Amino acid sequence: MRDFYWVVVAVVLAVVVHIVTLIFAPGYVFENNLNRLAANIPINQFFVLPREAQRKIFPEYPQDAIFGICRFDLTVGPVELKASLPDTLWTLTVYSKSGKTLYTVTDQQAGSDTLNLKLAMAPGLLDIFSAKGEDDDDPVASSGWKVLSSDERGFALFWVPSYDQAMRANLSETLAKSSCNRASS
Amino acid sequence: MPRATAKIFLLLCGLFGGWASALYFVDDLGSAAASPNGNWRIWNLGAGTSSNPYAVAHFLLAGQVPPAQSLFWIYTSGRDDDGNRLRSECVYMVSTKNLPSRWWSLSVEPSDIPDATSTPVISSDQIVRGVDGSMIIAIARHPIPGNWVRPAHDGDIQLQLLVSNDGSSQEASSVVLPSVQRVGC
Repeated sequence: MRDFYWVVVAVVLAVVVHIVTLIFAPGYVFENNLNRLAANIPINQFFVLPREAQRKIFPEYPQDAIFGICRFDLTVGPVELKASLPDTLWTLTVYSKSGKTLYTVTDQQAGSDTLNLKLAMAPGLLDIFSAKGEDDDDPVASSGWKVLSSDERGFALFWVPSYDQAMRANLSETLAKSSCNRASS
Repeated sequence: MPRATAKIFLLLCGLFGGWASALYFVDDLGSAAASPNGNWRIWNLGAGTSSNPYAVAHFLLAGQVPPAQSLFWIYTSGRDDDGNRLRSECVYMVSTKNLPSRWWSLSVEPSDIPDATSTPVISSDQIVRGVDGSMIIAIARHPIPGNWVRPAHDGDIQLQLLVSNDGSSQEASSVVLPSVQRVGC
């Protein structure tokens, strides 16, 4: 009977480790990898991803594709993303630091070659009870899109396909005009 | 003393079993057969599905960004139409007539651990189509006229098809996926 008890403990332990491995290990591995590959990319600043890092993070995309990235940190306040986009296929995906998708939009959905996006922390329980309708006075939220993140860090990722180096240079130039800064309060 | 050893052994089995099963099931439970009679598998990254944690972990553990399900569908196949494993020393013809997508890419990677530094890719921007709209892509170690992708690794390989979801009402399971015929070895 005692042996059976320890077998049950081992099975429960296996289930717990299985779940913990699935929940925490992938995010931890991914964040470490991102930190290593994008170590030179400042926080709250827009960058066209260097080719070397791009090839490692997005091997399934052609090398001439363009990835613009803004690694954001919302601990010091909301971040404002102003994107300049080419008149072609593009996608924007906002990820949490552990790779969870928070928001997506495409050229067809946006219907414009500019995009204003405000990234802010999702309100906590206390904030919800003491909410004051702050968006009424927020020029970015009223003129663009707003994404609330439960994670203080993450990244917004633009993808624009291109099929040769010349096209890549032109599209990169357009995308590089985008900005990602702390939102003025 | 032997009793204590047995308990420690059981606990270690639980720890290792939980960890190993999580890694093992990432591939099995994260993807599902894309069609009843084909070898393509689709990675289900949709939020709220039971396969989601496994599918997301598959990408994150490899240090890759999981594409948003609302923007891209991802299919992989490690076997040809006859069910044989894909080998880098063989010649394959990947053919399809209509991929209903604004953009897609086909990459060839090792079947065990993706190598981000040298994954050959061909995309819809680069492909040469037949007069009837058909597309044939040769996968071979030596050059072949037309669309050609050279595997960068020896041994077992797998194909990864990334299909842009253009917001149409089409389901991922209704995409007619390419056939993979072995021509020779």
